[in-house]
Amino acid sequence: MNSRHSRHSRNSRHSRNTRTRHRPPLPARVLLCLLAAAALLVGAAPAPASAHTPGATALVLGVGPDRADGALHMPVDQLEQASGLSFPEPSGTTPEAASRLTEYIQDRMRARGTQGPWHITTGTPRTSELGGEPYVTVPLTLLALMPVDRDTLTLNCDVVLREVVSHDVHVYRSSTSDGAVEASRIQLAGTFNYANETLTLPVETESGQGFADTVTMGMVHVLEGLDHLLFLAMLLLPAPLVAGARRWGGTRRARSALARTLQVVTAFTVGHSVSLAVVTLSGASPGGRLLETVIALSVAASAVHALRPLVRGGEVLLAGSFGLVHGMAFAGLLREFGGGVGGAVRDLVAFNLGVELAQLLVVAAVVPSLFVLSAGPRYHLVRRVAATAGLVAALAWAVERATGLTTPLRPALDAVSAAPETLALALAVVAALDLLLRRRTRAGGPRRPAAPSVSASPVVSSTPASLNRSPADAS
Amino acid sequence: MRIHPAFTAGALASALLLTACTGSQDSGAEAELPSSLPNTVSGGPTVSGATEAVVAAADVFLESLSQEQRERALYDRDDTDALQDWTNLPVGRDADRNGVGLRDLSEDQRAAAMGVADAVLSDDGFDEMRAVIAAGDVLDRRGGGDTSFGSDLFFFAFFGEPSTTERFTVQIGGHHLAVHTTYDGDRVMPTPAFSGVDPRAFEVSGSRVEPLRDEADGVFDVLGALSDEQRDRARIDGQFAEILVGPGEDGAFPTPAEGVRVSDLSAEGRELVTTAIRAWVGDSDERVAEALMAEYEADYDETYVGWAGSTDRDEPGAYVRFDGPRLWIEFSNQSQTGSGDSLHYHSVYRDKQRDYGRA
Repeated sequence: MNSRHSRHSRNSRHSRNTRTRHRPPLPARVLLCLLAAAALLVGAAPAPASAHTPGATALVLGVGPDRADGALHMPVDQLEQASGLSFPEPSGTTPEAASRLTEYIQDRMRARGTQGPWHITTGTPRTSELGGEPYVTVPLTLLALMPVDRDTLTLNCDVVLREVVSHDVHVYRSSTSDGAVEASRIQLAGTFNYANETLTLPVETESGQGFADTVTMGMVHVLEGLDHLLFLAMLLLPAPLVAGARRWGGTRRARSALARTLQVVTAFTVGHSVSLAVVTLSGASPGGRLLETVIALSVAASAVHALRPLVRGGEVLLAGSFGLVHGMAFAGLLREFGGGVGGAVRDLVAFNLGVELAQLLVVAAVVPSLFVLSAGPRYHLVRRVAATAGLVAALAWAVERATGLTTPLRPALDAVSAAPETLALALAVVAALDLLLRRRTRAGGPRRPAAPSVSASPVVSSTPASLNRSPADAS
Repeated sequence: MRIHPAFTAGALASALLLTACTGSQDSGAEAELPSSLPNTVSGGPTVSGATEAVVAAADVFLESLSQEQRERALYDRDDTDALQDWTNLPVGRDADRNGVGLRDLSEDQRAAAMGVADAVLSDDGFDEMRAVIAAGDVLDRRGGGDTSFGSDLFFFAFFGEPSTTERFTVQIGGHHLAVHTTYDGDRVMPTPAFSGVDPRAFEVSGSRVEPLRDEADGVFDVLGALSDEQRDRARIDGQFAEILVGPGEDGAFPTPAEGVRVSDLSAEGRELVTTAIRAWVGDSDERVAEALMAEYEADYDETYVGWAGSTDRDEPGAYVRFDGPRLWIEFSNQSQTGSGDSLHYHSVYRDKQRDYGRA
């Protein structure tokens, strides 16, 4: 449980609280898990023993401005008990049963918008399976009779529930219109039960509040994730420098260095925007231990790069490609927290904006210190110490995530995780000390015509690095 | 892979051996009742003694935990979002419930945890809980192991520091089990409490246990003693495959009350109702139970007994309810089981006015 992404489910009481409010009630989540597991394991195993609670009905709808498409999935045993109809497993549904089922559903479902009722049409029932249990699935289409702009959709549905008082009808909003029960594409919107007979869905997700929330979410996930912060710091370390063939050379001009910094940050955002978009919209769910390990290794690689350039101009390339990897880890989160899968694109934009903003915040906190240091003689020392520390931390993560064990570094990592701003503060103190020390040296030493400033530094990369460098060499 | 055939042969041999063993009789190693530390506090017959006993046991347990475990076990007492986020359903082998799980505890820590349960519950209640926990192992074994069931998948949490003067709630949760007992000085409230079990009966160390036998006997004895006319009046419309006011339904009690008034029953009928209700209320510390039973019995002229589905104790879908101004008990014969039996039990005991100790 070392990764930032799983940390949310446990440690801090605060994040647990925030999370609780975002989550559907536990029983509904359990159902969703069962359904998801079933969708993955169709027929692979005997009926899971965990399915020994009475099945619930799932109403899955992709809701558009004036129509909603989806399906109603009803557990056969409960439906038979409630309706008196029978659905023998091998033969599925007879035309007779199908027409009576249509009548049964039509009598128990209502949909209306602010402009008037929506018309409900049912498709041909078929037998199906969810959570290892036999189900009957009926495709549904809901159409607004009056043209609508912004509307709400108010539903009543006591299918099975009218007779079986203890029944639950869970309503899920889906990003697709096929009514499929697939955990990655659906989100619980509410439940009809003995105590709740009406549910109102917004037809168009309100922008504004939701957007700001998602931006904040993006920011929080950068700022709470030490691995992400460290990765960024490692990429920024050499930003004021020019890469030689095998070592870091002199400093860049300030403007060029700033441009480089922005390129690095943006390359990362572009990288993870791409993978985030692909993963979220395709509904794939990568992740887990392997991905988390790869992320830790990417931090290690960026630390190595800060020690010695791996690729000339490589920070941008590194940032972009590792952005791709980090984006995959975010995607699952976005689905979990996101306000409606229908607004996936809007969420993506907002989330990425938050990530970019948080990164700029980190840049603002770290880069001035780096620039001050890079103008002085001790920058390479600072860079190497910081990069080595980063490398050790990243390798510790990689080991922890790959093996599930805890390394002796864990307390230190946890401490830094809790207050990452102390690192930026420490760096600023070092930079200030360095500046003071330089002033004193300069005041006491021989006058030089120009300060060893950013602009006056030699560009070392122009001299090809030789294999027989002197020990005093920069790298 | 040279190891492969040897490994396969070994696995087959152990499987055969296992089958042979389970075929003859359940050995003690397979299903065991969890044990608890003795509690050093034995208070007098007052409810305040009940609080002290629980605080003492909780202190022993919390002391035994590491800092990290302690933090996981303790919640803010006003964190109602987390407090109400429980379920009687299995949540998976790797998922967490509130608090610390028995699976993460040493043998001594487990015993201290069970010591807390021992202090919260009466002797009957504690025996019932241990058996419900042990049933997890039976389900796990019948499911082939590594299932979402098992005696290690039960969790202990405290909402508020255990104290004899300040309010706190003990939450114990797992499959078929939810204990919420709130202490506020001398005031003790043991609801909502979920109890269920699957299978209904099984063997532990060679002896048969039926954790919810008292509850089942209680409700079906009440139905059996109704006259034909009363049985008709007591019937609740609709079918019930499950209890209504389960997890996530806090406060959602249906109205109006349905069924036949307890005060309209014969003296013998009222006795049977008292016995049935005591099967749930009596799971709490004896002192707490006595105080509550007196209150609930005083409400009999506004308390209704109702049933649906069937009055036959072996019929899936049989459902019984006690519904008073404060008391709420539901009992349901579940038609599906993980054990392969024909049915299993779910039940909930709530107090409409004082769940989670809220007045």
